[in-house]
Amino acid sequence: MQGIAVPMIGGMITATLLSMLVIPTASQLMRRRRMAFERSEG
Amino acid sequence: MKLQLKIPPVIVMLLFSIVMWLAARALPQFTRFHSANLYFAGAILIGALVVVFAGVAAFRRARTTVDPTRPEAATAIVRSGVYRISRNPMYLGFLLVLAALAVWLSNAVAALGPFLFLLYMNAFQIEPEEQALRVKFGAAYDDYVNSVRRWL
Repeated sequence: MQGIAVPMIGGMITATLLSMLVIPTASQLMRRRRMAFERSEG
Repeated sequence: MKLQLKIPPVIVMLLFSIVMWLAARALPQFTRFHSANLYFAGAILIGALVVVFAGVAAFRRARTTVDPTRPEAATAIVRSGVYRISRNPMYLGFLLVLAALAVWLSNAVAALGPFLFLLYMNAFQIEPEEQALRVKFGAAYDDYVNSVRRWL
């Protein structure tokens, strides 16, 4: 494969996985944890 | 039972995580939660992963083993990359993972976990490794020990 193509495709794959899976999961985990405490206080 | 080098540190870290999580669950009166803690925990976790992967990458480049149960199988002293800063970056990374979990849980009892992990690692993993490496590499290893610290 061409020298520049590998990192380009790698970047497209990792950026997609990061924004579609990792970030929503992290956000959901944080939200759930925060809500658990808000419920116990309120 | 001799515990030296028996349990791979990743497993030790997972066991510590489970105990910390159970402790935080069982003792909520020691929890002081703030939502900013979640962002701190995330930042520490990212740092931890960077440190661990930097360590593994340096071992790969030197073509030596990362098997923590057989330090005598090591084929080279790695002094490059993160190994200029810490002699045990992978274990330092595991310690940071536990620190991130402690911040995430925001529980005083769970926060003891990283300290106990550090003591466990020194006694049951790092010191036996150091002895094996000293036997294997001799003065070259002593030289490295004298120039880079064990954790940071």
